[in-house]
Amino acid sequence: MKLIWANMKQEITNFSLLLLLIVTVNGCKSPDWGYSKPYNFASQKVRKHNYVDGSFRRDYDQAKAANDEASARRERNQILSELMYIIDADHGDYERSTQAHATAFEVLSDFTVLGLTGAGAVTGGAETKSILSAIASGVMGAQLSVNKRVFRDKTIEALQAQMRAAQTQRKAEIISRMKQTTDDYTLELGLSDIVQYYYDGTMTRALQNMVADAKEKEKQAEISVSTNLLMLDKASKVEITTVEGLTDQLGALVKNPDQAAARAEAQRILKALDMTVDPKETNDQLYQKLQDQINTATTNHTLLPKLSGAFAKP
Amino acid sequence: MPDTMKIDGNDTLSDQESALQFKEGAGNELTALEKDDKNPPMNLASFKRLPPGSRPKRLRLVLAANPQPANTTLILSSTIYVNGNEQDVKVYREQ
Repeated sequence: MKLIWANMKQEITNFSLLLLLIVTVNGCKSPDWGYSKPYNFASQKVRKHNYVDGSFRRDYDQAKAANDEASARRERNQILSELMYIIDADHGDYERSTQAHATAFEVLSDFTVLGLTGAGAVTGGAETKSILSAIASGVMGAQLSVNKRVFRDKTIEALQAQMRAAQTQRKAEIISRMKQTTDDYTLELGLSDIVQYYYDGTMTRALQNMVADAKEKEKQAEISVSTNLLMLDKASKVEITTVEGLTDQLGALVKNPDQAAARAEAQRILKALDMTVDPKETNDQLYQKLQDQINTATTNHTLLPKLSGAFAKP
Repeated sequence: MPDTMKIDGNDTLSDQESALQFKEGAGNELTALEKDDKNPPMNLASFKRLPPGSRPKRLRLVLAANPQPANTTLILSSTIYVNGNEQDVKVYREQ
């Protein structure tokens, strides 16, 4: 037993070192997948305004007070554009960060599971194997839990695509509104749109939008199915009596004790309806074809006279 | 597999009854009748196909407030569009 615990201690120490290494490499910084930025997008030095207080809107307020619409509009548009730029710059890092964290966690989990199950295999004792397997199961469970709870089984790529789509749509709306006067589209309204633009780029909003999109698609599909259903039109008393009479005539054939004669009659009626008759068809198949023809007449009333003529004895 | 069809909810109760009777006369039996909330004022009627040569006895469509016709059996109650308005109706079948 002492030997088993000694082995386990060694293995756990090894895995801890491995985990630390992976966390150090993957978890503590967001890797830039590909190439360097030409400048620090998030730096305050490249911005015109400082958004830590209300000073950013001073020129706008002064232009409004002076009834200088051109300057007010220019200031408003510069502020809104810059805020979208700041969000875009931070969002790029956010996207890479979510991608990196998801990947790092999966890699970390995979390595841990591989390490534990591998250790179980080489350590030998049944008890050790059992303990290590239990730990490995826990790690796999944790990974599954994070995937389900944090990322809700959606791929990060799908969520990011949803975020980008929502932000692109919002940006187009904001740019369109920038053409309006500052009386119609005040800076405050613009800032309100910027808040929505920011939240469009969050995981929560992306998930909400995905659910909303799915519900809308489901609703449209249901409407489409419903719209494509055939319409059942009202019928005259004569039409109702006629269709009932045709079904009754067919019923008489089905119940006829002389099925050879009934078969011949069914084939005659089908030929009168210009339908092909396969000699191999069973009586049931022939009767079903006739009933189908009668049923078709419920959505195409003009078929009724032809059916009546075919069913009539020559 | 049930066969579902639309009925114009702008039609009178009598016209909708005739449409259902016509369909049943062609070897189908009404199994459900309801308003189509997705496409108002449409109603949806579902039927099951009967064996060839078979048809049910005639049905009668009556406003729920009205008395049951003589010699009939209630087969279902529902809320559907009649003359474009929602109405509670009962479907009876002749015995």
